[in-house]
Amino acid sequence: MGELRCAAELAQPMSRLARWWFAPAPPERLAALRIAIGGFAVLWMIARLPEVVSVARLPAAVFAPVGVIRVLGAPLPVIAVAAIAVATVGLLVAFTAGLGYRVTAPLAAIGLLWTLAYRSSWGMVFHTDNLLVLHVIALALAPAADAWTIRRGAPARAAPAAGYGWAIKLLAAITCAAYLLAGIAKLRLAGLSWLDGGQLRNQIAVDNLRKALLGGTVAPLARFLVSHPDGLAVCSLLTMGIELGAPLALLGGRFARIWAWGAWWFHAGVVLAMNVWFPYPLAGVAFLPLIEAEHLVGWPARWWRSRGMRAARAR
Amino acid sequence: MAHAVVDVTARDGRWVATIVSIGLVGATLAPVLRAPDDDGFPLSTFPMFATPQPAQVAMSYARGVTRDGRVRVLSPDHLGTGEVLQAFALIQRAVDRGESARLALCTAIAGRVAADAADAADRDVVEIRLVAGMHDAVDYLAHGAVGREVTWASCDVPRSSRSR
Repeated sequence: MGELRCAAELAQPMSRLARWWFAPAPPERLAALRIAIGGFAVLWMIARLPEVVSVARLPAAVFAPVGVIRVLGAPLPVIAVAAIAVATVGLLVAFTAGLGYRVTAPLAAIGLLWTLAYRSSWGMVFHTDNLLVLHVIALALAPAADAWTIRRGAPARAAPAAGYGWAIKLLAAITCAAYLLAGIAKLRLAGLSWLDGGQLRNQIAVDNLRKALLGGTVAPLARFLVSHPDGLAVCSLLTMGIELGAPLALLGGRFARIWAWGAWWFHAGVVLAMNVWFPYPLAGVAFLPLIEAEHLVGWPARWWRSRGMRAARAR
Repeated sequence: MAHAVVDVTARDGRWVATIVSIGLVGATLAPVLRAPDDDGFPLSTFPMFATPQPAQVAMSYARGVTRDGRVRVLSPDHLGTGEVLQAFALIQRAVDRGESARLALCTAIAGRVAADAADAADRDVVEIRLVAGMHDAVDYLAHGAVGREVTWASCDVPRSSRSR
């Protein structure tokens, strides 16, 4: 009898969680995320191609495989690395356009994962790429090509049984999980002393020292912040608040918008203090799953159509 | 009967979506079970700016030296990468591996400097030095104070008679 009561009590919050996770959403919202994230991935891969080829030419002695690249015992020939990267760009274009999605999306995700993991397998893991890869993988497993695709004459697809909302929640949850982990890492490695501003001052100083000595560009506010560290405790608290508070963004609405803006300003601050760029969040794409993305992504098409309609009325 | 088929289909669809969701969110969060500095890709602990950092730093870097003894900061491109942190990792690895690795890296950098005809600023560099420095990062940035430096390895930049 007690077990039955326990099961019944557990079923209620689980049922509420399921209703929230599977809350309906229009297919256009998921499609907008496919277009924005896929489009960013195409541009990012094209911009990274010279560097991917450049690191592939590094000596084998510095090859330190991470993630899926651990299956390799030795570096690949440069031509193979370049071919995979170029093919990935093509697949990502098809992914973004929603063409042959059931085939191109998983292949694009695998190509992106492989290429960017290979780039991180030479002594340094690039944390600018993690969230993009995880989002593309999630989209490849979701019905993200049921709207806004370049597919002439194809019959409209029936909505999938699970709907589209869960995939959007999944993308948002991955974003929030990444920031939460960053906050937890700071507490685990540095403890509460990370909050007093002293650690942040040293991080800013050491990061910019490296840039100064290795031919990079010192951040515009670095010297000022290091010389006037009084406000850095507040910056540390705000950083920790954004990272540990990331799960609150899953509540949606105003919580999500405030958190997304806070996280964006955090990244802007990192550029000004350390000249460290995280383009995916800085472009806003990392936070799109938290808002109604179809209004933003669909705006250019609606504006173009409204121009055509105004011109037709004028004639 | 058709209603039951739709119900089963709906249940199956949700189960698949649930498994995918738990799998991906679980995989993203799983690194929290590892040591915080045990990084990976794309599943990471995201330890950026997290490691306690003293202001006193020992690090190795490359320098170009001109014929008249002036010292130049080289770009990460001369180490075969566009990224400062990757250049840092490459130099540290070579330094840790010993004398022959340091000399090999020095020679590789010298070759790239010689071949970099587009960079007029480095055309008068005749020697490459791999240097170890001990600096106070706060003093360096705030006051320009340079710490102690020691040379690990040095090598000449091969120049054709036309480029001298």
